[in-house]
Amino acid sequence: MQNMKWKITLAFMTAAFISCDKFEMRGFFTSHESVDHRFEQSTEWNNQNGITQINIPQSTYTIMAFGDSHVGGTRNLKRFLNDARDNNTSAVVMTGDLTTGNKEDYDVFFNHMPLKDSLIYFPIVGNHDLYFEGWKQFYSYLGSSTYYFVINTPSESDLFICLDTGSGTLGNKQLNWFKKLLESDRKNYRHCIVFTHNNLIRARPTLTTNPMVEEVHVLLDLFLRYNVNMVVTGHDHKHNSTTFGNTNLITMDALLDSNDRAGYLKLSINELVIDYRFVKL
Amino acid sequence: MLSLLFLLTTVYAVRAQINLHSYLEIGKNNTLNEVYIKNAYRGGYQFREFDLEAGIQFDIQSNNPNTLTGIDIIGSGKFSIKDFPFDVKAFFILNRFSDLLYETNLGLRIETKKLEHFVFGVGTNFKTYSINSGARETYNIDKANSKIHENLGLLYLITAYLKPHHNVWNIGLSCTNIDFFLINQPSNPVFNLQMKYKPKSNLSLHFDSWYKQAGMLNIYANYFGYFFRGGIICKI
Repeated sequence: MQNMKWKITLAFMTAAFISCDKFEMRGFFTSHESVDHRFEQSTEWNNQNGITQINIPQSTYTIMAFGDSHVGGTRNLKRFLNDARDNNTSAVVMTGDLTTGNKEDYDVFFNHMPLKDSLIYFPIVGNHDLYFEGWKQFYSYLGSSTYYFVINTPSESDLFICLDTGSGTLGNKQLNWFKKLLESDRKNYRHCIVFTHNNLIRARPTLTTNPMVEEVHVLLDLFLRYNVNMVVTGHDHKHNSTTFGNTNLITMDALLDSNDRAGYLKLSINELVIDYRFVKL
Repeated sequence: MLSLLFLLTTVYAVRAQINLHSYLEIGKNNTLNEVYIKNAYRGGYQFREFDLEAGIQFDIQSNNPNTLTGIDIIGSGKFSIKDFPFDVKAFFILNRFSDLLYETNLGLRIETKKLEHFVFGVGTNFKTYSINSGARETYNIDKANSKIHENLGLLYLITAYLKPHHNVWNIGLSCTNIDFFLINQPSNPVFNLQMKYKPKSNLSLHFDSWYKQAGMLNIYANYFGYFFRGGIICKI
């Protein structure tokens, strides 16, 4: 009987470690590459490709963002991209879990991406994108996951910072980069919006991971100290928004095809405010 | 009447017990470029089945501009249902993690040492992040936007010990999201290898090593940090 128990336990653990095509159980304990390593590669990519500056001829513009498309399925991704074109959006930000991490899904995702001169998009990695050594695919298809871009209107410039929290932490190197960027550059911009995958605050009962409390402490301090106007995240699959200090903390619905409340975020930015709307598909 | 009061006080004082606990903590994590050092002092007053414990934490070296960085108060009672003994603990934690913000936790948890080699604990906490009044003024923040409450969190503690609880020395391994001045989210378990030694009946020493892995058992895990904690507990 004791022997049978061990066999059942072993069979269960083996099945868990072999895993399905959505999760890689190995990733729950250790990662293929550290967040510091991804940051170094992202920095290398940034150095080679430079900072994207988008010039807008008017003072009001639109940014659209989505997260958690988990491609395979592409129905909602197509609808989002059509809406982005129809809205003449200035840029699209993708806040991670774009794929399942499988190479086949990266192929499908990348094949649906429009040419960069027809739609400017900024991808960020999420935890699912990293399973099955997905970072190699992400980096080769999409490039950096830690960077910033700037949108210039005739009178002002706005700063958009994209951070990699696919491993549930920024890591020491990326956090130092983020701090230095805010310290040195934030004052030069009108609005500052941060995009990343992991939501920071547990707004509802959920099993999704947030960064460790010590890291949440540092981030909340930085958001307040440097007047970060908005933080846009995904990961939790259910939208939420709350204001803390002068920062709007926003979590988006998942774009996932099987999500019955699938949607995305539309930001209308003008001289005074950043207006946001959750759009249900 | 006075002599009766004196007698009662003396009897109660004999039955009561005072615990003093001090520890030093050294560690490093992804939010810091150097090691941090913290020092905490705790005092407990035990009377019959009830305990009142309070602690304060000082940062000796860290990136926190505050020196006094934590305060906690725990009130607990020992209960038993049939032959199942358990402690009920109500607590309040103040964590002054910044000169602009602080965190408070109110919570309740139940712990049992029913099994000789294990401690099990489960409970819930209510976490609030707040912006202090000075920062509200400096950054022109509406009071209505100066607090953010998290949903009720799950607290858990599982410790397996090599020896029974009453042994002079012991080694245990814990998985928990609870610490004296910090409570992590339920999805961020922390592992703690602890050693205890009781050279005298009223004196015990402990040494803990804690390991933190971000996203552990939940997403794409990555190293976050570690710390060591050594301390002494005296019973008076």
